[in-house]
Amino acid sequence: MKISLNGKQIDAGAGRTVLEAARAAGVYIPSLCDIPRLEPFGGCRLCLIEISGRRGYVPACCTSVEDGMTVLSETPALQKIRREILELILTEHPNACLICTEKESCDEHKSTIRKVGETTGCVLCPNNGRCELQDVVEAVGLDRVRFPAVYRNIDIKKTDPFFDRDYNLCILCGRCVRTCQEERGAGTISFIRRGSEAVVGTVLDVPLLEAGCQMCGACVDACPTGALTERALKYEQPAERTDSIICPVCGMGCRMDVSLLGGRIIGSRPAPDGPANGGQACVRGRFLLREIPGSDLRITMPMIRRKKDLEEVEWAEALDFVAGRLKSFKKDEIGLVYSTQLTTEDIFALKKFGRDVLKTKRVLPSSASGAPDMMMDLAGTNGSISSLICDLNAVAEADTLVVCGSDLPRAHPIAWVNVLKALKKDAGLVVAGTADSSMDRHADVTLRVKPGGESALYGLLAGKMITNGREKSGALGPGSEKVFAFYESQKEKALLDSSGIEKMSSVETAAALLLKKGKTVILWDTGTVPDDREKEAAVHLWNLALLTGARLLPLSSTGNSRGAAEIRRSFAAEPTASAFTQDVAEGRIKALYLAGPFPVLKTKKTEFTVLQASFWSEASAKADAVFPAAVFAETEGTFVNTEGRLQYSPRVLEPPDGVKEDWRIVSLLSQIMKRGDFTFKNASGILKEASEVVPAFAGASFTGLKKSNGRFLKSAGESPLNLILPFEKPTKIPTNKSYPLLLECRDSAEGYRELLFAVAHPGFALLRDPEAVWLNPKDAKSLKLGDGDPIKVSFFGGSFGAVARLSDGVPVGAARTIYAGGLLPELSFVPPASVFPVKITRGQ
Amino acid sequence: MGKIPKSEHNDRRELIHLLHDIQEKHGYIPPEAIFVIARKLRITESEIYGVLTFYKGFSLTPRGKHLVTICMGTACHVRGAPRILDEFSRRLNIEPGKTTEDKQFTLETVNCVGACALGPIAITDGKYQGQLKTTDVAKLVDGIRDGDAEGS
Ligand code: SF4
Ligand code: SF4
Ligand code: SF4
Ligand code: SF4
Ligand code: FES
Ligand code: FES
Repeated sequence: MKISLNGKQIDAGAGRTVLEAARAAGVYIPSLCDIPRLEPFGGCRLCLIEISGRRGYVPACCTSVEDGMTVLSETPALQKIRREILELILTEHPNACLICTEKESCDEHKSTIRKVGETTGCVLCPNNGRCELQDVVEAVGLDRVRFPAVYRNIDIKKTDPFFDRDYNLCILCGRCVRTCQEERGAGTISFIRRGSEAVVGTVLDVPLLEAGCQMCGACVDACPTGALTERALKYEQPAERTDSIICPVCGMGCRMDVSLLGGRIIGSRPAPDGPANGGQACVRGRFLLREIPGSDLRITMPMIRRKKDLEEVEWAEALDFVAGRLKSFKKDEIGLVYSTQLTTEDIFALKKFGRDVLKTKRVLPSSASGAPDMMMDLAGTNGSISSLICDLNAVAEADTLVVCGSDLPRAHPIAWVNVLKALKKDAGLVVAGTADSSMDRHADVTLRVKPGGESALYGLLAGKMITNGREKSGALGPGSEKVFAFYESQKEKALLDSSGIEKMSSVETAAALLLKKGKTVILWDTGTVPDDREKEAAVHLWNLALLTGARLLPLSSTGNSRGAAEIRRSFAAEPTASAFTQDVAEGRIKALYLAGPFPVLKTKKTEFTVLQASFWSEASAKADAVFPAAVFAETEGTFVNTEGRLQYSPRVLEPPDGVKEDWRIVSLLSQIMKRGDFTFKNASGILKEASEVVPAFAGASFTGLKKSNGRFLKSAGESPLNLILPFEKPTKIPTNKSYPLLLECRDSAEGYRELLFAVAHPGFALLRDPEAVWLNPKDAKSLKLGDGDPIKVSFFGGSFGAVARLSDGVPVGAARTIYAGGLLPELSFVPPASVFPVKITRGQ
Repeated sequence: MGKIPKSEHNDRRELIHLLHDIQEKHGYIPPEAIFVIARKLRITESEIYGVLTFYKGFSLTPRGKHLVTICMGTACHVRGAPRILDEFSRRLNIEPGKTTEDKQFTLETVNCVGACALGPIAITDGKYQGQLKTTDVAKLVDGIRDGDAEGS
């Protein structure tokens, strides 16, 4: 399609607006309220154009291109209108600097007396220098504002963490409001009042946090002025450079543009062209990354404990000391824990270190790769996983979405952003889970199950597919008659009871949505410690997907848990978390090598503990030796996100003196211990070896990844998928009279390695309290507990301290917590399962 | 260009209906109602608040029979609007933004009503009262009360 723009022929893709076409062709049409990702709004009227054959002026951002259209955007009449519109906008915006003739030289003479304050000009505005409004004024060429300036004198809102809101600088473009509503589905902010009193704000002007804000920062990035500004950046000089890295925190794999200054990360914004995230991120990547490398808790010197205290020593001495001690343990006597937020290369090196140097099969990831791992397990003999799972793009394109067991906006924010894209196109949404979530109001059906009731629900749904319509024929594998027979003989009523769902009708509605023609995607997450019950759930979901032709997206919890799951398949089987903890408690594991967070267990049986860590944590007090390890931005390497997207992340920071990459530390130890083959010179050499050993990484290299913007993991061909016969007897959640409540533990990557975000930044603690255990107010009442009361949670085999929080969203008889990896002293426990019976009493 | 899902249209229309009903029944929208509606219609509280403050017909505080609005814009301010406001406050025995116990008067402030030359200005039941002096306030209030007495 071609249009003529100011006399030049330009190519305009179909379905796009004139403004987008102009942008793509490099022609500037001033605009303030338009954002490419959002629906056209037509609020600011700066983008007015003339189209021959049509009367008057139309906004380019709301006008679709038509073949052969003749557009003018620079006529004197238009320029005049634009200046007038800008003048109007600027009557309510500090404008002294914008139209000042000294503008150019002002920048150089900043040190002299400032002629205007923040209330009247740009000089003190945190946005100065990267302000879209400045750009537009510049382009339109405004040199005066004829109307009297109005300063609205609205109090600057500073009560929320991470960013301030100064609505005196707001031009009411609505980009923040629309971003929050359309892109994030949060609806935290709205236009309040109208006319000259209009502002952007929350219900009754409460702080953002009370209005359901997730602090994703998308509104800050959308704001063209200094109205919304990141607090931490206010006191920083402009960055020296920007680099793109992959956020290591959760499994979404966002590419972030980090700004660097003096060897520090001062800020991070989602990269607009990030393959997985396309300009979106979440609070963790947006506001917490900068807190990580320079944290006060950073470990920067090797240490060993010869007598009572840990003492700083040189690397050589520490390595010798540790090597000597490690050698004294026999096969399988050392337990190795690795973080799944490390790079693929670090994880591979650590796994190899465990096998060839420590000679142990007791190797545990610090956070389970639950859902992807389980689906891969099922795949093996039942068909190739790549025919079943899908990427985030498929989520955005789906006609029906089923979200199982995840509070997406919090735990898998980019998956949520893609769900919203599908909802905009009228997709159906089923939300199944144990607690209320902000997703509920977008859902067609909400299936509220009791903790542990998930597999009953999924079995029920799979059965409904058969009873309500799915034909029994079809290529669904050799044993499929048996599977059909299984589902047909299910007792629906009993399943409904064990699922905890109130009405069969809501299950019917969900089933009807699943049977609808079109593309269906099921997104699924497990709890903290995936158990048999969740394996059973996985089987039902697998079958459900096959019966409906749906695709699955198993969600991984941390930055590289999917990569770890792939690597794990080329090594000996790992023990379960509970087997590992028992081995520690009962002394079968005599020494611990911790390259990832692990709760401090109250046992005297451990003889030697090595910490390969970046931050001081509870475990440090028990450590006999500490190796300071590099953090994400200081290490070159790759991450695999939840979709199976392998992405390269460069080293953009020098690690502090004395800090080494994880892979280098274990390589050095191996050389001293003269065990194993660790001749790696760099991380790229490790990926090379991994690509030969781990089938999924075949052919991967740093050079290739850098060029190609990442790629999807290979899987061995597309083989047909089979239905899987579910367990004959459903696994029951153990109940126990002395432990009357069911506690559900979920993961959602609330920290990086040993550093809890709630500890790294007080603002994060306001948003997500790691110590919170959520209870239904009814249960709280009978326990005589109020919101915020300290509690003790006891279970068979342990107890921990927490803080009671009340919520109607939690079912009666249930409790819920986000498991933070045992990183706080009170929370130092390993959950025996994702859901387990507990007793709650008042604590100190 | 994506279409707005049907459901959103319905929700918004229903929202305005609901707000009308509540306003009619209580004479104002009690803030708690926002949270109840949010659950019922599956719209966020802030979105409801946006709609509700958009229309002048909805009020978040109980309104009296008579509305007195004092302009606190810059021009009126320098010409003594604060003193006028104080006087109304004192006479009616309420803070700005509040309603008298007998539900007869509500006292509000605005920023500039566009008649600066006439400042300081009060608007009583829609009537502009320009160039006010503190001594005029008693007359105005009594006038409104008397009007009611005559009418009944
Ligand atoms: S938002 Fe932009 S134009 Fe406004 S004061 Fe700040 S830098 Fe200047
Ligand atoms: S931070 Fe995110 S959720 Fe909060 S107001 Fe901004 S866009 Fe909305
Ligand atoms: S706060 Fe920023 S993005 Fe939001 S309406 Fe105002 S200027 Fe636009
Ligand atoms: S934590 Fe996850 S969603 Fe948030 S920025 Fe990082 S990768 Fe993206
Ligand atoms: S950009 Fe078109 S109206 Fe604002
Ligand atoms: S300031 Fe009162 S009318 Fe303008």
